[in-house]
Amino acid sequence: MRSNRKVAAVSSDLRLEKHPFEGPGARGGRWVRIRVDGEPVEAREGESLAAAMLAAGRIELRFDEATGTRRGMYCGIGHCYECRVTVDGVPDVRSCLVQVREGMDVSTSPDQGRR
Amino acid sequence: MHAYDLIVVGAGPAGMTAAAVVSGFGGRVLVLDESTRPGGRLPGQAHPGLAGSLRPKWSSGAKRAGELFRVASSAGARFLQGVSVWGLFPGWFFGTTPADPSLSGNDGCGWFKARAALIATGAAQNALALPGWTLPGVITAGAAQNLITVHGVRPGRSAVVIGVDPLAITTALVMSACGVEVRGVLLPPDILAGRVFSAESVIRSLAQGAGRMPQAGLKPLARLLASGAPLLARLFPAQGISVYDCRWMINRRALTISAEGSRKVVRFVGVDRGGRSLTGSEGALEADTVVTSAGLYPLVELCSVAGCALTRIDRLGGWVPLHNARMETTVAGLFVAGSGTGIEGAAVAEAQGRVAGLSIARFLSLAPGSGIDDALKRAEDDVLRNRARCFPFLAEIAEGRAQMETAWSLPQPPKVEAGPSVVSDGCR
Repeated sequence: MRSNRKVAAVSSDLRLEKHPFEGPGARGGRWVRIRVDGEPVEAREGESLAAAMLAAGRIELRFDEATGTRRGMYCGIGHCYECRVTVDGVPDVRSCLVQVREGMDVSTSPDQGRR
Repeated sequence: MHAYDLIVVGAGPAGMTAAAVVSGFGGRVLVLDESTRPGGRLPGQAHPGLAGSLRPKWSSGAKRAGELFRVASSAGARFLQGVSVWGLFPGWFFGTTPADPSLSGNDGCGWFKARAALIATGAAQNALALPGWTLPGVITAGAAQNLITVHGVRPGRSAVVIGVDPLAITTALVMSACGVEVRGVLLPPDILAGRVFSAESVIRSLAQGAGRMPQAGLKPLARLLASGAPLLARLFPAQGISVYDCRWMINRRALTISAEGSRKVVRFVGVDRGGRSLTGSEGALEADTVVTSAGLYPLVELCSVAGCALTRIDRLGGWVPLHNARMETTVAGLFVAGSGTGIEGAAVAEAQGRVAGLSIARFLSLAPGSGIDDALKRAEDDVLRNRARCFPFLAEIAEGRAQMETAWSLPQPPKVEAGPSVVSDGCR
């Protein structure tokens, strides 16, 4: 079978520099800097916080309240509430539903994530 | 509180189209939507079309979403993005969180009032709760597609897909086109997926879907595929076949997911023609991410709290609000459109949105003269036309719609003027 992989140009990380389809993701916004658990993380304007964290290799977003096990983004569209993090002191923000902003302060720690 | 003629929940193809129609008749329309951008799931969609070639020709929903948004907003509809609707009360009052970002001085909950309500909330993915499904790095097919097409981020360098519905298949192709190594597309666990899958059942479903397409060449091909399904299934190689750089293993069933360092390991077992496990055929696949799909379910919570009668029609995807061809529900002034009424594609949702918009304009007496009934009839026919030309997400969607027609025509309790006063628990 013929290959369709050549269509996309892939950068060294998970971000797509060129898209085979014209989605909003094809645009590639300017770089912004956010802080995740105190560490600086580069993100791109237009990305959801969950997408930016994934691209930075951070897929563990919170601890399950009952079992203490790690959780990450699951549905990506705001329904499952698995991707909650603390953003600028506000707990339980669904990271898949907010876009990254310059200076955004994100915490994935359990004590801050809990109400 | 500012009052509207219509409030639409959901800025997808159905909601935006209805908003444009009602605004076009001079109605004051507000669209409330949870995402940061309008479009619903449309901007995240990329479809492999097979226009005369085996190579997928990608088409994107983003362009159409932009067009629909421009038409609705230039007609005067107001859009509020990033706002979740958590309650709908007779009147109609909409409770939201956060509040209207343009207002200040309340406790974080917003209130909006309208004479009519349109619930166009779409659908969400069913969870595929096999062991290990909560591990970080295990995501739904919808999430994977949204990540790539909306955010421009691949879910991983490699992936294993669990599920064989149209969304899983499309997502596997999208990922492979974007350089994600799709190491295997596996059958979902039978009990969790609600039915037993096998290579034969997958080939039969493809044939059934293709047989519904209007293209002249497809019907005989579909018949051939359906009758040849048992033989093809028997000849299907155990290690799967590679098409478009995806490894299709439709004779292996996923059992568990585990984590080994940052990698995910999916254990599987081979299955025979009838979907029975074959001892000694166990194995494992390793990848950065695991993408799961067990179909979609209509989002009907708001219809439910508003007092709409719901009915369960599995051919439509589960519980759906009882409604007629004019998108009226059992509650006066409350309308529905889109995948929340049954899982279908964006073209059908858009056509349903037009029907709902015209229906609402009539309900609100915004359309003078008698032309509205003719327009409604044409719009209803357009829904059927769009249904007939799309590959169905649910193979028996037409039968499901017929079931809904029957359910609507059965004697019902008299239409309620407004829903019961259900006060939901509010912000979670």
